[in-house]
Amino acid sequence: MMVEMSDPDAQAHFVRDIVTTNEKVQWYWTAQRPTLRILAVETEGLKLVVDFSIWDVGFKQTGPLELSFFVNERLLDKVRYESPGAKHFEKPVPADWLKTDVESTVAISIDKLYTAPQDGAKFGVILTKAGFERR
Amino acid sequence: MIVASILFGASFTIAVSWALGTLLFDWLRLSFSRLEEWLLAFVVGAACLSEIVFVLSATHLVRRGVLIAFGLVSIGASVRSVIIRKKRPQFPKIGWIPAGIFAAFTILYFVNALAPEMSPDGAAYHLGMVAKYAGARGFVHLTTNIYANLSEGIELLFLHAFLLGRHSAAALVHFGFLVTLALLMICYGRRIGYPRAGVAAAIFVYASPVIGTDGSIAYIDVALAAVLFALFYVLQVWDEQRDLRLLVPVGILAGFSYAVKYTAFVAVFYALGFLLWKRKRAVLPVAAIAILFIAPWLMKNWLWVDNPVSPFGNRIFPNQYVHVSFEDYFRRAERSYDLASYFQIPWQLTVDGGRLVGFFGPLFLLTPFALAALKLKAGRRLLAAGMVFALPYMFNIGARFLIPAVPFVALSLALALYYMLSELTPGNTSLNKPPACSGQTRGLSNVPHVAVLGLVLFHAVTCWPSVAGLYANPYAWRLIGFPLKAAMRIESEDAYLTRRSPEYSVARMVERLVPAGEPAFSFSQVAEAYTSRKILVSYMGAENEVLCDILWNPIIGGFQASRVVRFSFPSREFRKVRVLQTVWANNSQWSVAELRIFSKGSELPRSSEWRLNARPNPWDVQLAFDNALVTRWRSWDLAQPGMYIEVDFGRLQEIDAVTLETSEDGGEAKVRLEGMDAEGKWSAIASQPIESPRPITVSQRRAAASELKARGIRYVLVNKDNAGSDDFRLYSNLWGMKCLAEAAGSRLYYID
Repeated sequence: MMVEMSDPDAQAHFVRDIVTTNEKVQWYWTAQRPTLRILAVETEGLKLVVDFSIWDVGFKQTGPLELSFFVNERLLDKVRYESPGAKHFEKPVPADWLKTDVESTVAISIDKLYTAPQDGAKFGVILTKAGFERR
Repeated sequence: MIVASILFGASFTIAVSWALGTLLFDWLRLSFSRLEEWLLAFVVGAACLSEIVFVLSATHLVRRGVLIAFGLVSIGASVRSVIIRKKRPQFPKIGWIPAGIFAAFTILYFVNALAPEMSPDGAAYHLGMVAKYAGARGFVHLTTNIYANLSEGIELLFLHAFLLGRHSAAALVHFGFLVTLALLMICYGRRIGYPRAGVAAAIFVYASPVIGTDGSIAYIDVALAAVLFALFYVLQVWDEQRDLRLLVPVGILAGFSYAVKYTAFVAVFYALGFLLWKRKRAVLPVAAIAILFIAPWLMKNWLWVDNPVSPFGNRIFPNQYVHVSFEDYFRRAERSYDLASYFQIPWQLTVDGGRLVGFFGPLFLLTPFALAALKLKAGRRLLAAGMVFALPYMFNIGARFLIPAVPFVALSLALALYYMLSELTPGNTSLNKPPACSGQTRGLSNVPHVAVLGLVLFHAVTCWPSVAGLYANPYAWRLIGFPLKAAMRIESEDAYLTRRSPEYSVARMVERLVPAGEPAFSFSQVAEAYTSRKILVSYMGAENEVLCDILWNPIIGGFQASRVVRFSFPSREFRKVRVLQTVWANNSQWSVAELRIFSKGSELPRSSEWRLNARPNPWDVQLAFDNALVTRWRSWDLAQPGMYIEVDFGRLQEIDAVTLETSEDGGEAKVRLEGMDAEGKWSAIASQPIESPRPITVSQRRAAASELKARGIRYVLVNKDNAGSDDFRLYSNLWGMKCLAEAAGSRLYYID
């Protein structure tokens, strides 16, 4: 239910907007709307948990970020982050949003992206963990 | 040594077949021209040998020693007869160019046949069953593989060869039929007075990519074509000679046609129809002999799977081994091959070959011209036979299924070409005259001959693998290599097959990791010829389909019991109750995961006095009463009025509610509740149930795996292309499985 970005199989859960690499890593850069497929083993009593970081250098360019958290395309919450550094998000997910037969999609929409001055590449946040945990 | 044993296995099987045919012909004192007698003796003798191996298989006496002893005696007796009668085959002179073409393709096919066998169906079931029979010294009572229920006349010849020379020996036996077919066509051309047409037609068939490919592996289609052509041949000879003794080989070949392949049942009707037309009194003896070759297969199926024509006819012979839904799906799939339109068929069959699994060569675009052969008596007979033998093609439009009819079409086409070109050539003699005596070339000028020879060359060149690769679909089924090193075993079988055949690697993984006696479930076909383990392939039997349904339940929402249908009514006493399905569904089955009965607000415990029944599929009714969410009773047929699940309480029982837990995929079904009162009278209790959703809140993966374990299945094989393969890979811990190994994209899981 929880995808640690350090897992060897982590990339199997990525749907879009996560910058993959062939190297073994502990975290991944995201783009505008990182989306993952994550299986809920049960539907009741679960919360969505996302651990990520906002890069301080990027923050100087973007300023505060607003992140919207979606589960199966339904908006679970919208949070404004006023500072860089490690962040932790968690919020209960209504049981009827989830299914046990297929993976649920978890998406994080980021309102502003950091643009690298060297090559113009755009980055969102640094993702380390996402998934469902029992409340 | 390996190559020698392969060649011995194949040649000994062919020799014993020929010997039995020769002895039969001697006994009947039949007379043919020399070469045709040898060829027909092989085909008729093959039928006899197959019948003998059937008896040995049924009595579990299929042992190498028995086969060799029997074979040596047969060969000895027949050779003695040949020496006494001084009958040696005399090969017809066919010209250097045709002989060169035959030689080139023969070398190509021989090397491919000699190479390790890795054809999809050959390695999976034609030889898969043979390997099992070889291990058990006879038939194996296998109810979980539909291919075990098909008639296996040629497979029993393969079994004979396999015991002596393993897999490639079987493929070479099939190649023997290909050579025989071509030579029979040449002989027939001579017999009817058109020897050059016979040679041309034989090359049209022999060089054809799908026929050459099929004839170089352990399939059965070319053998069937040879049997059918031999049947036609002997019937024509009988019509010329009216020798009643010829009816014996006619009966044998007609019956053997069915024993080779179900779809050849038309041969029986063809033979009987022909005799009915020509001489009614000949029908009964031929039918009686044919039945001797058909009945064993009917009986075997009737005794073992309750359906003499299994895996078909399951509505007429309901049984627990093959589902009606499988049969319906199979028929639909075999009729479409995902073609956008049937108008694509001619191009697919002659040039492209990608969709219909093989092609016959661009020359066959000229097939419509074969109709010109209607002008000739021989042409009319050939076309009529071809039409009859092409009838089963309606049920399966794959190129292979047209092979039995192609020799007739090819001969008709060659006749027609000669006829038309002769007509167009000034001063040429028309062909529309009674044929000259056997073996004599008709009075043709060189123009038609040169033109047809040009077509023969064109066909040979366009069918040669490296040329065909230039225009055919890259995915067309055809020979693509010349595996000489593998054929000579300079490269070992294991190395060659590991390199070339993913299915082989998977089969060897299963053999290595699954203990003897343990079955393994697989979503896909496995090269069973290379493993001794019992494989339950998801769609190859009713039991396997139930296992697949259980495994898919946790990962396909529509399969899950997420709906509750409740009948509530004033409390009454009933002896029996049944839930009756009342509508025709367009594309869904009816299924019930659990049926629960209530009295005064409490569920009645399922009692041992209860007698459960269902129609259809009474064998699985327990699945609706087992308190397992991942199992369900299914109709395994489209939902129809009159289907029911019934509970006989064994006494009067007071009840006030009945619930069905069912799934979304059966949403079309409508049900009503009926009850039987103390007097034994059925009446409607309620017809307007209340439906409510019942979300599945906990993953059923482990429960599904446990169900398989409870059924004795600990090993599950999942290919990366199978539905749900990612789920098994990513969540194997949730399934309670561990991955033991991976080979060629397939993972073998063990249920803890």
